[in-house]
Amino acid sequence: MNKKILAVIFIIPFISLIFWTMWLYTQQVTGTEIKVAVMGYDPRDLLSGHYIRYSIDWNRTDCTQFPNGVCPEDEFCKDARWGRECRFYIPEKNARELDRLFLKRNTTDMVFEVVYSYHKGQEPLAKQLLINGKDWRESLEKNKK
Amino acid sequence: MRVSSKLQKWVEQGLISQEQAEKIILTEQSDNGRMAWKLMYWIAGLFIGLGCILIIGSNWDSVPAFIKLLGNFAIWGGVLYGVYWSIVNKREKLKELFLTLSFLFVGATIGLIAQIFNLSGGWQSFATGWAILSFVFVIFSRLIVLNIVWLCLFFSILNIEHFFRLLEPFLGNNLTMGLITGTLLCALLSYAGNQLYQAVNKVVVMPKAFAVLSFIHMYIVAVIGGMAVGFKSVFATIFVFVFLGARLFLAMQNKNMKSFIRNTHLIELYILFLFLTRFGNLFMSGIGFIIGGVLLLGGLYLLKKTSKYIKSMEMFHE
Repeated sequence: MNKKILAVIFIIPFISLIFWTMWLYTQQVTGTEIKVAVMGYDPRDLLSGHYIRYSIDWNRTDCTQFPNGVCPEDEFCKDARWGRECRFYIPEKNARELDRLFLKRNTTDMVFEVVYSYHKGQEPLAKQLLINGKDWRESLEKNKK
Repeated sequence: MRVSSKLQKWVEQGLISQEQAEKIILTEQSDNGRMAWKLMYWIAGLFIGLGCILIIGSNWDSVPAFIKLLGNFAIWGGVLYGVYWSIVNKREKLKELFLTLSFLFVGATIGLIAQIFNLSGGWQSFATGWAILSFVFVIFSRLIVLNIVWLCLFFSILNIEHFFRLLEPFLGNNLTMGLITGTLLCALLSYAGNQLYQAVNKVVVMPKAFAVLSFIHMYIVAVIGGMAVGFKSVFATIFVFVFLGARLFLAMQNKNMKSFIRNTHLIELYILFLFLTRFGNLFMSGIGFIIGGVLLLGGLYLLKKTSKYIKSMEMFHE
């Protein structure tokens, strides 16, 4: 087989994934930041790593952030299966602590929110997990003290 | 028809002598043995590769996402150059190694991107992307195991689409169960295909590889299924040891050395997989796979020694 064709064949998956990464990064950086309230929690530790599996609580989300003041429920977590759970990946070492904190939310007044990068008509990308309006790391540290 | 049966037939027909038939069988057995050992070495290499990739993908908070991606693409780029170089320079073994690593890197990269950008796609999206983008590495590989792994990946997509929704309340939506159900479906299809092959063997000539694929499929089902279900259950472990113990006893009674060696090896492998399941999270799984790979290499040495020892045992030489 021609060496050039061979090189092109092998480079296709590599280039595709680089372009996908760049596209996701552009989407994340250029989108409008919006905040949604979340509920449900299920940490997993299989080969995908630790992540928070949540669903969006539209009743507690401020819809005025979106165009025309309407929450675009269908645009969120389109790829998620079985009940539209979204994911937020967290480091393994914090998973247990975060789990404990989330379970306490019913007895305390803690509010869990996720900041998304939003483009109308495209699937939003989760950027940050907030606990009581602060980054989850900060809240975790505070809770330790 | 098995080689031994064929040879027996040829001896009866006077085409070859009994002595020639025995020599051919010995050569065949030696070739098969070498292939099995090579396969074990490949599995050990695969474990170590998987371990490294798992550690890379274990969400290291201290390493910035950009560095993680850059490191991943840089290493994969080097591996891709290795694929190209080994094909151009006709280095078969290195080619297989680099193709296997590239196949793993596709999955690891998708996983890493999903992790960094918090993508919500489940196993199906992940497996689809992995299967499509890694196809090129699989078709260039002559390793039947890599082809089987890819087939499992591919079938798991179809499987999840049609069956997983029904199984979700019982099994959960995770990679392990996706792989198991996918593998089971593959095995069932292969089994059906194999039965068909047996039935129409005299009429239609189907590739022999298909039958080999089926056999390896069943092996993968046993290993993965055993790891996911059997090893977690004390009863399953007891059952396996009682079963294998009984097989060892029967082998001793019948002075069947081959059976004794086979079952001894199965026990040793079972213990190794039992050890691997002790590692829970991603990082520890990575460490576990690396240690497992190294142990497997050590185990290979042990297996060879065990075989040699069993062969020298008096009870088989009466």
